[in-house]
Amino acid sequence: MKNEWILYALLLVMTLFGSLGSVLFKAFTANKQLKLLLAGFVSYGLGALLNIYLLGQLPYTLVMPANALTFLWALIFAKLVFKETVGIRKIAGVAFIISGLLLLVS
Amino acid sequence: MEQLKAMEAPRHLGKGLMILSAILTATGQLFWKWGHSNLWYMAIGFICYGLGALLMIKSFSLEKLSVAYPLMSISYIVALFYGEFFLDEPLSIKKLAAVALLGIGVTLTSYEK
Repeated sequence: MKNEWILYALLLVMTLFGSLGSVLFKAFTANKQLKLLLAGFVSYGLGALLNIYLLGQLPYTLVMPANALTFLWALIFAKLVFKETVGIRKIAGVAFIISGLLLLVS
Repeated sequence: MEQLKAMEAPRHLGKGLMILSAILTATGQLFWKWGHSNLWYMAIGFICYGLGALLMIKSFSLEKLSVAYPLMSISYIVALFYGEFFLDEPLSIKKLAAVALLGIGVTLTSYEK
């Protein structure tokens, strides 16, 4: 049981790297700094490696849908980094996503 | 310019690319699952995953996010069927309900006026 929750935490980290990669790519398009592009690829790569590892530890039918968590991170980044307005509809959407994943885990 | 470029492409090309991307993403991860015992499958997984990412990026340039993102949920449905047929991870009402919730969530999150 304890081990399972470590794996679930890694699922969160995996999707965080994926989202972080997207943010860095977006920042690169604005600033054209090479290090942002490289950091984006590194983030994406780490996310992919964690993905491969987790596919060996958890069911495929859990890991694949867990990619929907990228929307959670995208929402957080939009709010904190890009200072975008986050409406109630998006928050409701993320709540649905989290509910769906909790149903898969249970 | 982006609008004009989008109009030049066939009307539903963006949607088609996103659906194909979703299928490739699910297929890439399926091969990664198999790839733990066979490196060739691991390599095929990377190719599918990479192609899926490229098609996704192209789709985003042709289609509104509020249309493209919900189509990404197709990969979750494909994943359920791959699990049922290839991986001894059977379909269940609970999984179908979970994917329905994910689809609703993705649609709400990506909706733009």
